[in-house]
Amino acid sequence: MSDAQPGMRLAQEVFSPGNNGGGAPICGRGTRLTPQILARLERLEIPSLIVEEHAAPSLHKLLAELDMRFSKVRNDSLTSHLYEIYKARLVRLTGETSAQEA
Amino acid sequence: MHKKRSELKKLIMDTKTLPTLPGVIIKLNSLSEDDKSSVQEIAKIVSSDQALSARILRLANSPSYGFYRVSSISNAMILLGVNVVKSLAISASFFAIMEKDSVSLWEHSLGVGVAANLIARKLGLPECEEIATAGLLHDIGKVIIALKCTDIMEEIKTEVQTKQVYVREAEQDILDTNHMEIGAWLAKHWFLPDKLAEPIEFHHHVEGSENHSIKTSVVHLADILTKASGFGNGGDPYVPRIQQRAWDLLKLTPPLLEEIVEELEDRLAEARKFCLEVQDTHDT
Repeated sequence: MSDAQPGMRLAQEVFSPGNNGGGAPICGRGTRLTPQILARLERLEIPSLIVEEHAAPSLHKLLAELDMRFSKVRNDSLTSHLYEIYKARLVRLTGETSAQEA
Repeated sequence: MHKKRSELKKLIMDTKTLPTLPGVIIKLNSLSEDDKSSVQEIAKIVSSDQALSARILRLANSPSYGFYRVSSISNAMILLGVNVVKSLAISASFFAIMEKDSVSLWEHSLGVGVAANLIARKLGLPECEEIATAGLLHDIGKVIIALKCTDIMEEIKTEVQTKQVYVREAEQDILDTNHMEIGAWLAKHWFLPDKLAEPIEFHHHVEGSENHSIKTSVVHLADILTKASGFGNGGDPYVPRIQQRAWDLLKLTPPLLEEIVEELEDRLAEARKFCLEVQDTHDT
């Protein structure tokens, strides 16, 4: 939470800490943090929040980048082996990792 | 336009405006051919240039070589060999230019050094350190283009973006030459050994390499893997085609390629940290 800065966007909704973390939603996903919002979150003693800048890129985004890098060689029989290796790796890794907390 | 292209080529190939090698390397070049000169003697000469020694040690400790315990020049001489230290001295001079002006090319070169070393070890090839050095140096032609034609670099970048071409195609179109040709010419001018010069000249055309086709194939593949991983930026984002000759020479198979990729990704994560550390020292 202490790393959160005005201007960052929330990658996940923030809930009030009551009821074992399952409290009422305070800020929606995509909300841009302002000093006022941050002050409010601090008052509510929100321990952490996940912002877009720190969120792990989605599989969709990673695959789009991979496709762009391989755009000239996708139909090449040898190089397409490498594409498939990287694609399988990204699918596997994004299933394993979760977004970092701010 | 054609005249302009040939003028640019002339400017690039003008030896009078080339970065000169540090005097230490010239001295070293003459010495190491004499078998009688001891490792200590050579180490003493290199150590006399403090700035160069620091750069050599930093490169020797980089993930491209992966020893992590090279604390002195004589240590480096023993671990890496005299010839590697000599080419490291050259790499260090180049990396000094790249670190300031082209961080992304520096990262790409470092990544290719890391990948070349890993592939060479994985395949049980001799002279892994030499191959790593060839990987580090494979794009020296790009450094020369950036040094001599700063304004043209923007033109090349724009062409890569608008036409979505490989940087070597944009270079050929605008300069009537390319970084492989310029790198080869530079290697010749500096009397670099063929085992470094051939990978520099033929990393995009493995068939052309006559005497060091295995080393050239390793650097060719290392370049492709580094780009496939999205590590650094050599001027365009596009992965080149794996050439059949390289695939055959290295006896590649999809499972072997997968093993290499898995290990390389771990090593590149270390290399990323190294890059950040180096950039931090520049910022402070």
